[in-house]
Amino acid sequence: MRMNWRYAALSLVAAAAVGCGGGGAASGQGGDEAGTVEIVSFKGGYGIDYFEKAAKDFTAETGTPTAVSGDPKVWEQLRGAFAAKDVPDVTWPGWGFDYWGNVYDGQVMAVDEFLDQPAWGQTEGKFRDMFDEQLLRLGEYEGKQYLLPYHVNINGWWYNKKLFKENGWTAPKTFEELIVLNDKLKAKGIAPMTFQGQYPYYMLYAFIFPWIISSGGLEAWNACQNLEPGAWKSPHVIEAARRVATLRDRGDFMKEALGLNHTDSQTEFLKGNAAFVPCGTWFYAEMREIIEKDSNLLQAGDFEFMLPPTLAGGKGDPTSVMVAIEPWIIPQAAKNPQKGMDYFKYLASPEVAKGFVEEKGTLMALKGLEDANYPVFLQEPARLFAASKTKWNAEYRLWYPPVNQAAEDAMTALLNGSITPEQFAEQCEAAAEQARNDDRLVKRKVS
Amino acid sequence: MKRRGEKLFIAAFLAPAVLIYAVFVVLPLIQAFWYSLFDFRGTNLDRMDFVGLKNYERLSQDEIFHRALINNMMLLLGALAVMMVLGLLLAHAAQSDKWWGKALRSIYLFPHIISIVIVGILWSFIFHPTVGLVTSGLKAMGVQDIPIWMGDKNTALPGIGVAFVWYGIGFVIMLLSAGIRGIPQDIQEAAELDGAKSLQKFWSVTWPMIWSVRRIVVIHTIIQALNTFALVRLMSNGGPSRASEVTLTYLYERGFEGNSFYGEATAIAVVNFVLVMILSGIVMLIFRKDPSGRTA
Repeated sequence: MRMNWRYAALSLVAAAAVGCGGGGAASGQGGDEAGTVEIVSFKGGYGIDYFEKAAKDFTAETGTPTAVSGDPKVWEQLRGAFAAKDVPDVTWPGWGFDYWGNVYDGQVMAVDEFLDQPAWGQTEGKFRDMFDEQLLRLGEYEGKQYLLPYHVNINGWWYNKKLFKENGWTAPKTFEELIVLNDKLKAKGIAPMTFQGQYPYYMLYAFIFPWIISSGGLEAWNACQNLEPGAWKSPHVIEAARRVATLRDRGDFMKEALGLNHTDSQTEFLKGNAAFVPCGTWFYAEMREIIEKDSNLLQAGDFEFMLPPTLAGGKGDPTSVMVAIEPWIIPQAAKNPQKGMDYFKYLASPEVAKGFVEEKGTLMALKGLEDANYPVFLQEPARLFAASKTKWNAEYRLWYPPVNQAAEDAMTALLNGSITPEQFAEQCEAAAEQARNDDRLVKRKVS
Repeated sequence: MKRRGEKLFIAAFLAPAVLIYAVFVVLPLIQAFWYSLFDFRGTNLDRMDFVGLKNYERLSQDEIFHRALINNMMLLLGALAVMMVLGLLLAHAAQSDKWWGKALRSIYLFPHIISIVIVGILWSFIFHPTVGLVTSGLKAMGVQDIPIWMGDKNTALPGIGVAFVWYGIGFVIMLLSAGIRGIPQDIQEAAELDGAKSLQKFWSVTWPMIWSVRRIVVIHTIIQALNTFALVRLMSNGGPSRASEVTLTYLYERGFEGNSFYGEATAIAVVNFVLVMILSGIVMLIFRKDPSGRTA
């Protein structure tokens, strides 16, 4: 009772302070002890229709009633629901959810016991063996598993395959090849690259981090993620920033890109106004409506995914792929955790997961989907994902958000020419130093 | 005895309003201050660490917060100056019985009745760097080197200021119009009989006679400028590189965008509230003595 009163008062203050109210789909939908499995999902580019259909099939197969709900900003509703311990039984809370904050505060259930159970439809073996080990490890904390990876995104660049084919060009594999190609593009009056200027993390993921790894190997990047003193101003970070400055000074970026949001910049790419755009494998899902409405834009098959060009002489693995997991969780206060997990196991069963791949067009953190029929825009990402020897992640973004925000500010400043590559590194290092001394931030290590 | 009964009678009528005000305004404010003394993530209220004034100490050393405060003040001063001058001109124009006066009266409040979210989206389109009205217009006029507005550190905050003024000026015109209409006709006529020209009449009669309305305009603008959130969030998200960051967008970032520094975010809300109160108090003090002899 005391907690609810405090929560209500807190919500009132927060709502008054920022002018936004709470409530909505997630609140008041706590799991029901009678056995209905409450499923709450982020409703983004993939919608929630597949989860609803899976829930119906799950109910038909098990007799367990289910209720599915979703929202494009479901994390905002879940924050209140978690604080009030009025939670669903299983949830994909979306990219805006503070996963680790909730883990540290004891709001997320450790799922090792469930992962040691057999997978859906099996009588022996362990469910955990169905996951890509590297990706499963991203959801561990202090030796326990909290996050359940399901579908994944890989980050890279998309290029205008149609234009390249018409001109006999190939996607550049090295930075030097990129420079040569950019000159050819500019000679034709096409901006080589546009980007999501309002969301600088796209450029961190597409330029800076891959080039840190390309220059100094994964250890250089992991040192940054682990906040090792001096790591953010290492020669590899400066080198990566220098490459961005080179492209900037050569005029290889679309001038207006700094003021564009994600859909605008991606539309510029689809219009053929720029030859490259950085984005993850969610690109098609995000742009599907725009693409399908306008036949003058590039259509599926006209654009292709590629990994960022590598830096010659660097220590990095050229097959390195940045992978971001989209995890599900079981809330600690779930009333039916086993049933919630059963639903997740059902989603992860090969046939259901394969259906998700084919219908929604995404890669998965699950094994055994090699024979899935990938849509045309996902075939190259799937090939690169399978061929990658090194899968890396920007985990620091969730561990140390202030460092990420400082890196984003520095990225924008680097792109608009306000700072030098050295200053970029200095600014990031200063934020890392602050984070090292901030006792509110739980210190983590890349495992 | 009668007096005591009278007091009780008044208190009985006041009590419900005071109670509602205390529960829904005073208590949350006290609790906001209380929560700002803790470190917590807002995810589990059983896990709160009391840190005293540490969150305020953090803010005192936080350059981004200082920048946000400066941006708030720049927005306030810029918007106030423009809205007061433009508002007075348009309020005067709206007094006219000619067709343009009537037309102005029928449209000036229009921007203010639109949701602030719609205003933010609308102005994002107007300042769009490729297809926006401003960019397209300048291109059509042959202007080279057009800024990228919300993507440019020199134009982002002024651009938000333009949207802020567009949204807020209707309300200011309404207040000033009411003030001008409230000036007794005989005073205006007396000034005319004394040979006062338009400008003299304005400085000697109108300007002093709308003293209390000007005070409301200033306080209203202080509250609006210091509580700006949606416009900045929608138009620039505080960027580029914090060039248009304001206190409430920073509050949102610290409390809700992965950071979960709820105590610190609440401290920002408290500082913002105190600042509004201080500035409003100063304005009340400056405007306390009305030249007409009335007191505020």
